[in-house]
Amino acid sequence: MFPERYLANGTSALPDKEIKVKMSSEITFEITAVHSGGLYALQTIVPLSGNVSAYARDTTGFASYNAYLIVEDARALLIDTGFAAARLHLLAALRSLIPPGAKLAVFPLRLGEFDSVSNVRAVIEEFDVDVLYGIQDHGERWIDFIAGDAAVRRHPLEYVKIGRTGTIPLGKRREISVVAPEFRLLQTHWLFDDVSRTLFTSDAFSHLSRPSRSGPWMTKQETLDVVQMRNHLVKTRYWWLPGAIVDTLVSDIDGIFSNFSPNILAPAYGSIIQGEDLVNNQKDEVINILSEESKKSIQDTVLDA
Amino acid sequence: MLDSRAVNPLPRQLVPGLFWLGACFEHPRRDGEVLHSYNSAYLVSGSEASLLVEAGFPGDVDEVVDQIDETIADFDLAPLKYVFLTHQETPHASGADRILRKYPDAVICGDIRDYHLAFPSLSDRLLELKLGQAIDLGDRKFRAVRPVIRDLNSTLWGFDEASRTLFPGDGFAYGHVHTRGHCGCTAEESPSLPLPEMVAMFAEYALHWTRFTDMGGYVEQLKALIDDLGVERIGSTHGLPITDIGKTVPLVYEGLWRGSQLKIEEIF
Repeated sequence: MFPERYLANGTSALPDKEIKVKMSSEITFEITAVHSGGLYALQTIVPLSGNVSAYARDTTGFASYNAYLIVEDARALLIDTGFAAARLHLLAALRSLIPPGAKLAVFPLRLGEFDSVSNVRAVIEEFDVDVLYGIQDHGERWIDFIAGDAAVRRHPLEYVKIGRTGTIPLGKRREISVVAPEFRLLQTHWLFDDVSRTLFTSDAFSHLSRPSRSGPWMTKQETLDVVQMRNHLVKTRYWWLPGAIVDTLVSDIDGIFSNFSPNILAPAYGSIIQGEDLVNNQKDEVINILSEESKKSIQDTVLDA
Repeated sequence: MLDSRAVNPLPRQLVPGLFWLGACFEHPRRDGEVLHSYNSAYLVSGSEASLLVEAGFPGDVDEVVDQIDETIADFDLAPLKYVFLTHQETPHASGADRILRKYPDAVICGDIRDYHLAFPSLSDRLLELKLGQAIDLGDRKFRAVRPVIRDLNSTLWGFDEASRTLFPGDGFAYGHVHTRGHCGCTAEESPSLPLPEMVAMFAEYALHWTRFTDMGGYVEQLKALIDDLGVERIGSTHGLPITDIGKTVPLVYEGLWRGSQLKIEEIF
């Protein structure tokens, strides 16, 4: 007899019938000028109905999945590439934003996740990509998914594995700082652009979904919703926080924010957060939640099945 | 320099109806040793249908597809109808599109979130499994069970009731040493594998959160799951298969505890 405790509440032991779910993506796409210093967000807006892993099953409304493009002189850097469902939109956006003749570097911050890496191959095939950055060994082997994603490269491509810290030169004067944060689930980096003072936080600070497709997907004003923030953390990627030992996480977050003093938080998904006060307000609340969850027990962890 | 992955000992039958597929992934040398890990897939075959656990790492999918064909032909297996994905991470799910194009009667099953965005052409070939629900393969059932050690919270583990094999995705993950002849071997066939150390090392690379928690509670949950299900073998995606629970699993527990104590300077 199968142990009952392993059955979800109200779920029969066998599917009543096989239901093949056709899940329409119904996505839309927006290009957002984040900063006049050549920083753009390429945002895929996705309806939420328990159909994406980045948000809890009971989160409704919409979320933006964000790739970012920084353009400086005759170079550009693409941070994350979005899901395959948005491929055509992404490529069209890049055509409109990348200057003719510019070299492109691509940095998927999470080589292990589809919303970061799905379109790397397509971008390499169309644009003059000379460098692929990543955190994993043999990153060039992590990027092929769709039948027909041929290993044909029109230009020499260098893969650069970045360790715990680093810098990426961009143009004559611009540098992107790279740091591997402690506050993470999977292998990832955070990046900091000193021109726009933007901290690219990968899967962190990603809690701002919206009830409406219209967003806003970049905000300077936000009423702090601690419940939304906490639920997003403990029901999705940071499910392990209850009972965790968070001192290192807190000090690392504080250290990164102190070191870079960001004015903009640019997460991989969720609304972009602008303004020093709002940025610090969001950071402080995340730290508060970490501290509160650490006082709980691992019995309080939630599986979002 | 010779490619350390040049000879692949897989696919391999573990027990009747259960096959181990995949290829080694090479890591930087350490102390003169060549370290590998797996991104394994497993074929579970019943009288009416076969099911693939995991869809492989991007760089391995072509090889895994060949292994599926070879295994189905060599053992006259039932057709592939299900591809169970433990979670939405590229080392586990990358081959979904290529595999389903090759096997038009197959569907993706498990927690199916994200796949309509990652593989838009497959959006009508997704079968959601809830905890405890099972796929009927004819003379055996494959069930979705509660994960314990995981990264994404949308993870499901799988359990083949006939062979009592647990498929824990990122659970029981550890590398192996190519230069000691571990490739294609079970954990028990690899006595020179420093299992606790390898578990600890892999936990930092893949299960960063285990450094910030007391793993004792999670180990107790693992023990309870193994006891309750009557697990007799473990088909980990990233570790060598385990065929002697009593002998090998305690070493994994030790490694999980060690990994939670490591300082970051010891890793980079």
